[in-house]
Parts: sequence; C-alpha cells; structure tokens
Amino acid sequence: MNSSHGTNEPGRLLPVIVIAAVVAAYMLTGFFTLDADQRRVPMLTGYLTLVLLVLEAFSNRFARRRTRDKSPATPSIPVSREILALAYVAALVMGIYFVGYLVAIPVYLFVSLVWLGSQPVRRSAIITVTASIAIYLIFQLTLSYRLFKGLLFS
Amino acid sequence: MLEILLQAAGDLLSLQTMMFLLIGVLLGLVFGVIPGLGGTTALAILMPLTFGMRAIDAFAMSGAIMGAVGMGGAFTAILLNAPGTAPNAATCLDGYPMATQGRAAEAIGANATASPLGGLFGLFTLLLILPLAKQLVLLFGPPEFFLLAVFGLVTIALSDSANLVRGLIAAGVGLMLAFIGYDDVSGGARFTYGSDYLWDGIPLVPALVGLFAIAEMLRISISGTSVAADTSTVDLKGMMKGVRATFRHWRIVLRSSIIGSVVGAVPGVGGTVATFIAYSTTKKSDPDPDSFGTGRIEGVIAPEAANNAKDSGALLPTLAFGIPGGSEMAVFLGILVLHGMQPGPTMLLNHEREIYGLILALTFSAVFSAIVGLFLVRWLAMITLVKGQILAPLVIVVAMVGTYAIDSQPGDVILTAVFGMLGYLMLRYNYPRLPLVIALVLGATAERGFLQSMMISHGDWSIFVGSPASIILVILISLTLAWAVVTGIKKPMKTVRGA
Repeated sequence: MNSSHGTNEPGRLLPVIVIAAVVAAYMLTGFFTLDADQRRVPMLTGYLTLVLLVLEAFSNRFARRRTRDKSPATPSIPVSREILALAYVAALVMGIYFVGYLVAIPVYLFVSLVWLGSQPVRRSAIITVTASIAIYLIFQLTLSYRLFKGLLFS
Repeated sequence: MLEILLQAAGDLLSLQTMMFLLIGVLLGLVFGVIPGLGGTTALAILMPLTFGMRAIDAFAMSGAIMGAVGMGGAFTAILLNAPGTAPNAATCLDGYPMATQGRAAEAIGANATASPLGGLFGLFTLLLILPLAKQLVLLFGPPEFFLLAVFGLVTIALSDSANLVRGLIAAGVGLMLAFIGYDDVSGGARFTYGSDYLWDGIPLVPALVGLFAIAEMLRISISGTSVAADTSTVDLKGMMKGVRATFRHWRIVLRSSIIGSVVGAVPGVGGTVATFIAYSTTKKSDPDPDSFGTGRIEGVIAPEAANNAKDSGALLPTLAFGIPGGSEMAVFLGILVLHGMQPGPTMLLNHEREIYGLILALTFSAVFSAIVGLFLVRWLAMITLVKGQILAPLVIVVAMVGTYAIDSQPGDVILTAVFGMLGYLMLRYNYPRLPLVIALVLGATAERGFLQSMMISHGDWSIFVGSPASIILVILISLTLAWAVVTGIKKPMKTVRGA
C-alpha cells in the first residue's frame, strides 16, 4: 500500500476517525475528573472540534465521489518505509531512555544510514563515527551539556 | 524610543554577540540553500541550543538566521530552479532562465543587493510602527486579549483556503493540548493523568522541535532529496552587474519592499504570497510583461526585495500582539519563551530593549548575509550535493540532543519524538501544523482572557463588545470568517464549472 505526501486525497477518513476518538477520550476524561468550571472551555473546544470533524468527514465523502473518475496519478511512497522511519525514531528515543545518548546515537545513525538511507556500510560507518565524536566534543565537552546516560548506566 | 534603541545597539555591538550573529548568518545561508529545510527548521533545531546563551546573543543568532535563510534559498532557486525556501519560488521564474543563459552571477548579484535593501526598508517601517503598537497594547484588557487570541487563531487556521476545515481542526486539537497542565484561573491540574511532567503543561520548545524539525527530517528521509548545483558561471564581474542593475531599478525595490512589509504583517498569509504579489505587480507594470519568465533581472529583484521585507512585517504581529505571523515566527516565539519572555501584547511593554536588539540584529544580518553569501555562494551550493537520507538522521540526532539540554528531562525527548511523528502525520494527511502551534501558544491566553472577562462581567457576554478595540476585533474576526466561507464556497463552484 502506498501513500502520497501532502496531497489533499479525498476519502481519507482514517485521520478523522482517529482524531475523533482522541477528542472523545479527552472529553470523557474531562467529564469524569474535572469540576464544571475547570472543564467548561475544554469541553466547548472538544464539541466544536467534533462538529468540524463531522464536516470534514462529509466533505471527504463528497470529494471522493467527485474525483472517483479522474484521480490523478501521484508519486507513491511505500507505507512500510514510513513505518520504518517512524519506528527508527521511536527506537532512538527508547535507546536514549534506556542506554543513553552515547550508545543510542551511533547505533541509530548507522542503522538509519544503512537500512533507511541505503548508504554503503563503509560510508555509513565513517559518518557515524565522525558525527558521534563531533556531538560528544561539541555538546559534552565544549558546551558542558550533560548527555543523559540512560536508566541502565546512570 | 531613541534611548532604548541606543541601549539595544550597545548590547548588540559586543564581540560575542556579533560572533553569534555571524554564526547565525552562516547557519541561515546553509539551511536556506538546502531545499526542504529553511528558517523554521533551522530555528526549531537551534532553539534548545540557545538555552545557555544570553538573550541578546540568542536573538542575534535567531534574527541572523531569519535574515539569511532567504538569501541562501535564492541561490538554489537561481542555480537549480529549486527554491531553497517556499518564498524563493518566485525567484525561479526569471532567476533560473538567467542561469541557463550564463548570467547566474548577475542574478545572484541582484539578489544579494535587493534582499538587504528590502530588509532594511522593512525594518525601518517596523521601527516606525512599533511605538504606535505599544500605545495600542496599553488599551487592552482581558476581553481584548481573548478576542485578539481568537483573531490570531481564526486568521491562521483559515489562511489555507484549500484546507479550511482541517486548519480549524488542527487549531481545536492545539487548544485541547494547551489546556493540559495546571490551570491558575480555576485551580487544579487538568488532563495530566497523574504525570508530574505534564503539571506545567506541554512544554513549547520540544513540541516545536518535534513538529517542525523532526517532522521535516522524517519527510526528507522517507521521500529522499538530492540536488546538485553548477556554480561554474558565478564570477565577481557578473555579480557587480547585478548589483548595479538593482540600484538602477530602485522603484521596483521600493514597491516590492512595501508589498513585502504589508503582506508579511498579515498573520497566516506567508512569504510566498508576498513574493508572488511583488513579482506579478512588477510584471504587470512593465512595458513588456510577456518577456518575464525568459530571464528578466527585474523578475529576481522584485521577489527578493519583498522576501526580506516580509520578515520585518511578520515581526509586527508577533512582537506587538503575540500572534506569530507564520511558522518561523511561531518557532521564534519558542525562543522568546525559553529566555523568559512571555508571548503576548505585554511583551512589547516589558522587554522593549530586547526587541529593539532583535530588530537591529535583523538589520545587520540583512547586510552581512549579502556580503557573506556572495563570497561563499560556490561552497554553499556544494551543500546541495548532500543526500537527504544522510542529512536527516544527523539533524534528528542534533535536535534530540538539543531538546534534552533545556531541562535535562528525558520526558522532553519523548515529547519531541511524539510531536515529530504527529507533525509527520499532519504533513502526510495534509493537516496544517501552524494552527496547532498557534493554538498551543495562544490557548492559555485565550482561556484566561475569557474566564477573567466572564468573572468581571458576571457572565455578561456584552463585555466582548464593550470597548472600541473589542468591537474592531469582533468585526475583524467576522470578516475573516466571512471571507473564508465565501472562498470555500467559490472554490468548489469553480471546480464544478470547469469539469
């Protein structure tokens, strides 16, 4: 399955459904945990957003019917590639959290360059080592930022 | 005002501050040259790194980045027909044909002259108007603050006529995020789910870094970019020809600068509109309009003068009213917050010296970026050889380091990643990010203003039309909504007629 970047694709109800679910959860939380004064403005905002989501859903359906016969061919990107890129960032964050920057950064850089960037292994290794050393020198030594060591090593 | 201006100049003219200004110019040129990056990404990445700096140093660097990025973007627009930033798109129309005719140096010389002239004009206008804005701000109370926040939200959310409803949805989501944390009006924490990290609300800096820097890097690494510029025809003699041509066409520079300043001051309109209006106005007023697009130097001068003038225009609503004029200004507001300046109309009253320091930094950077850019154009163009798949992970890593550096909180890193993914999904499904950011910035102000107004008036809604300023704001909000509805109706009707 492929996706297009930044195009106004008709019929994309998935984001509408997801946002509506999040808004509904938000409003339920407000209803059960906050008093009337605290939840007044957030609830009003939630109701307005739900109305807008319904409008968006209807306009998506209408646009889909209009463009069914003349969908332009758009350049497509595999969804698997998108999921992989997002997963890499999530893995970087988890790596930083558990083992710290100095371990997570080189691993992330090397894996991203080789598997997502399709770069040669040697070039990826050189870039990884150079960048990791530069980050350590600039941030830890020169700017005196104490880079997080992770839960396992701190 | 003159005394404060001189004090600000004194703050700026220190060796350390000028060094940061020069660094900002270089960074702005680099980020401007690489298509897909630009000032917003540059500021988002560097924002947390300014944390340990003095405020004036941070503003000098940020102002320099904002002033230089358009210059860098014009280089790739001329050499590659690929605008480094969106507002540089108009420069491609005549700049690239000039390059194909072996006149790239002339185009670059014209760009390097028109940009600082436009920037200086815009800054001069800003300096004249800011004292008036300060007087206006003193008239504001809770109802006016609330209406101003609503006006800012509505204008930004409805600025993209192709995505009216989605802009409002994004604004709604942003408002809901803004309500997370301790509420000082009604008391008690809201939507924190027991997390101490969220007690102070969603921190702005990690959210901005994620929404703009991480999201853009994800987009670049997934879609991939790779461009390369040919700089063989760039020489000094040709550049000086462009410089002389710009001064010869001073009327075009002046008119385009006015257009850039005015359009840039309207929140949500964006620099791209300013440059294209300047270009089309110049074309229409020319005796031979059909020759535009074939390599007319006026077609480079006009958009580039407007491009730099619009930065000063965009600063006006940002500094005077706390309403960011665009995504770059939204991120810049994050830098102001980081240095203890609360966005909103009172910023102009409480931090006048720092603001004038920023304006002077923009003035210097407008000139420096032209000089530095001319010397470095060949080397800057070489940066375009770097592939997106190499650049993106490096920038992501730097952004993650920077975001942790602010408060040494692992939660900030997690939040940055979450907002990064959110920002990418918004790009993918074509939901504008700017309304969400504006709502995150203005949400607390809007709610506080509303609740305080209701308390003052004992629930009487007429307080929102109880002063001339309130009435004007209500009219402006109504006109904005009406315009958006009319535009929204006209567009599908045009499509149906054309089908």
